[in-house]
Amino acid sequence: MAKRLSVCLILEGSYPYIVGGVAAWVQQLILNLPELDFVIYTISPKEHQKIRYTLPENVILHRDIVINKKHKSLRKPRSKSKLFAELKELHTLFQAPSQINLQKIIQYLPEESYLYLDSIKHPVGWNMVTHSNMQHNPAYPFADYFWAWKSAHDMIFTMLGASIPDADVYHAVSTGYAGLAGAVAKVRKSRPFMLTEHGLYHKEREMEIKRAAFVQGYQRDMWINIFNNLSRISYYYADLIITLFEYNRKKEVELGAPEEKTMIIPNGIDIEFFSQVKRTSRKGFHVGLVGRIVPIKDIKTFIYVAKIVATAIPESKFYAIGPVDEDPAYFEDCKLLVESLQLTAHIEFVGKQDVREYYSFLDVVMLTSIREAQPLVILEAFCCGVPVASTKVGNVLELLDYDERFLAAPKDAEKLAQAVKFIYNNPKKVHEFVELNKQKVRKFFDRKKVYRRYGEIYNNLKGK
Amino acid sequence: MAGIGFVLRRVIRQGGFFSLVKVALAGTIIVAGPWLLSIVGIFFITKYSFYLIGQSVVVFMGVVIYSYAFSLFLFGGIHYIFTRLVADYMYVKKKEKAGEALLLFSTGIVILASAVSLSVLFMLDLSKITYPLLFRVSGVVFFVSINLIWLLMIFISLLKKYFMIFIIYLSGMALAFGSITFLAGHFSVSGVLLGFAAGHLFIVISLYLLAFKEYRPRSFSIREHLPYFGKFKFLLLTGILYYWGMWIDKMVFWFAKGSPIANTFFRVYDVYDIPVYIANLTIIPGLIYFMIITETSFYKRLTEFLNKFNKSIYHKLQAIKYRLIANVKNGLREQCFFQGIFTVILILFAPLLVAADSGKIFIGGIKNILVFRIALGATFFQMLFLTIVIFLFYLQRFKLAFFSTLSFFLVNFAGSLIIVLWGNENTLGLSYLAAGIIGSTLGLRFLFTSAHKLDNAIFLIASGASLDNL
Repeated sequence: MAKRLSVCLILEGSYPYIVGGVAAWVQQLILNLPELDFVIYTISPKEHQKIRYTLPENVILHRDIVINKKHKSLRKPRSKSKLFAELKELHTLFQAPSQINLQKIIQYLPEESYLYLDSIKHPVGWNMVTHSNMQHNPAYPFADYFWAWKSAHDMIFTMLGASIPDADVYHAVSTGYAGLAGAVAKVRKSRPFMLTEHGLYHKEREMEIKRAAFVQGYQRDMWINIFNNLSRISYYYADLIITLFEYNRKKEVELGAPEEKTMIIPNGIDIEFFSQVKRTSRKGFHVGLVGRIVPIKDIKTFIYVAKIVATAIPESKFYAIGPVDEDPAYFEDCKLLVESLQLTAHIEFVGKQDVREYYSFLDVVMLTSIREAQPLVILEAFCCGVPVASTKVGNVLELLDYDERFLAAPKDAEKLAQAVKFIYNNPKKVHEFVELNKQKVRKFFDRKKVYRRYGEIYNNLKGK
Repeated sequence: MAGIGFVLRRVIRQGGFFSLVKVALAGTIIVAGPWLLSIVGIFFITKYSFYLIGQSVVVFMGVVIYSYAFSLFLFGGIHYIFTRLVADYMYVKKKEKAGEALLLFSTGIVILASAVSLSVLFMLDLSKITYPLLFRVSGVVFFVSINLIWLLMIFISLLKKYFMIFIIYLSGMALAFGSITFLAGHFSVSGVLLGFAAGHLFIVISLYLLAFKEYRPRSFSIREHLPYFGKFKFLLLTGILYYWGMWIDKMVFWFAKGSPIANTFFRVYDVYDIPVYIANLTIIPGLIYFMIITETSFYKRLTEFLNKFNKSIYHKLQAIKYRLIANVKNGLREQCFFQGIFTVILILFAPLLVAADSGKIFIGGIKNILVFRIALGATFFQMLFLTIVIFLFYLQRFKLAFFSTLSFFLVNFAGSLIIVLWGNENTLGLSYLAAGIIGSTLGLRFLFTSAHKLDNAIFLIASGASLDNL
């Protein structure tokens, strides 16, 4: 019997510990490729997280590495002076990614050897820290800079030294530390490495850093540089870079991804599953948001939209459909906001549900996210024949044909409410628009075709 | 001792000759009070006992010398760990834990010291001594007592009760005199040893009362304190090797060149023992200078560096660090100059001193002036070496302190063997001198490298590096 092809999926902070989004995509990918074996290599912020998915039978191994933990070195670097010379060289080469060379670093750094202390004990490492401080942070306390530098670099050292499971193909589902692990795997194991970016990791982190009040001064630039550089390394070492839509592909190329390696494979949905939905009219006007109750989905803007719309359309009813347990504090805030705006009769948090039931009667599906890649919920809504009003994030503009009647800037509750009211007031025009999109989704966004494509890519890469 | 040093510095700043005398006197009592009292006490007790019981007092002398030498040789390393442990507890104001540590270490020392002294004293042929059992029991009590006194002195010095220690010591010596007067007539040399042991037992009990008055232990847990031996293993080894380094040449000469004490396997070598014994006393000015000036100003600079560590920009931090390094250089230079004056004067005028004494007091016991001069140089460098080792302790560089003391020990050991094999009487002490010079040179190199890397070492420790991994 021929040996089954094994794929190592490298995941950071998602599957199998987080529900929805990329995690849901990974689960479907594995389920839809039963002829392949999958090794799950996860990078987690903490130990002993609860697994939220039933791992499919073709998952043959799950290895988790805690990125914040100081792992014990079981081996020593082969030549510290040569290794540090290479690390220093690496720092100077980030602006010219074609010359990045992890090969030499990995050559001196066996698996399960971590540079947490060596990085500051070795004179070259210490000089890099102090020199970098003098260059970028001369007016702030050195200790603050040091600890920021240390925490950022220790995570990189964890990934450089970690033991990587064996597989035929390595597939990172983001850049960042997962991408770095993929690059290291390619060098250590001499196996192909591919990358799929749903969002743009470095851009997402940049937004978080800019919002975080505790990251100050040069530390912001340092973190942003680190994330950009991690993406550069991932792009440089990946044999294939897949993204969901053109805008993101261009951004990848801007950061140094070789154009010839890039490819677009959009996400798909289960067309058969959603085609079964029978639309029925229900009394009143029903608006739904399908997504987790978390800040990134900006549920508060959804509530503000509900306030504006409910004032104009008293029979309107709003449903937040999705798990509420990921950020309990945020969920409490949302409930308080609903109470204070006296919307308890208009808004309902229904929790995780079979969304088809809601797609059958919803008059509008709304998306208020401040960040998205290619939201599946829009594809699902169109497939079921439900109109959509959304913020202009990720691939939403393309999916909604750049039609400003249904679009608004993130946080713009007034404009979103206008879009909802437009749908309420113009059912015929909206129906035409939805029908067109229904056909487009059913033709181009069938996930079975998407996953088959991935199966072919894995086999091609293995063949190479 | 940095704390008391600051107090004495404040007295000096008041100015005037009287303040200076007051500080010199207080400093002498603090750094060498019990030491001087012991030396003077032993000297007079020996003379007095010779008057009471005649020549048989030499066995008593043998027990006293060997007890002091071996108490440090065998258990000196433990003192370093004990000092660190108690200082840590006092810093975090855990009084009962410090008391527990004293109780635990005392128990350990009693068991070990009793075992060692029992084995040695029961191997001695005491057939020509009256009341041999009394002699043996008194010997064990004396050996255990002086080992406990070392611990208690460390503990109570950290409490900064120097004058109380001095008074207790004075009382203990007076009691020893009284007891010997009464007991020597009844039990001869066994009575002398019993009387001397009784005086020391009095010191032990008084010091315990003083210690436990403030630091009463609440429990007795070995598990809590034992990890210190692992964590500070290089501190322990440094302590052991320092005392070995100090005593190894004397021991080599005792057994290779010395003469036996009647009816025992104890041996002494007066040609070397007495010059070194006297030379050791000459470093008292250097020790006082270290306590009042060198250590306090180093401590001040180090504290400044540590206090500003988290809030300073890199340039500022480096400036403070280089001030600390300059301070170490100046401190060592000035201390060497100060002690050097005394050492050089004594080296130059050694023949006059010996001649003036003309054998009446112990300086007259010096038979070879060249050996005395070498010993003066050797103790000068030993003082410098000790200062460097203490600074390395402040910087948490226990491993480097260990390597320095290892060199000190090895050079002295190898050198003394070479002297035994190929040297003559005029080369005695050269190994001790060479050990001090080499140990200090190596220690200085380690010290300045460590001082330059101080910021790096602090970050390493804060990042989880063990002290051995610096």
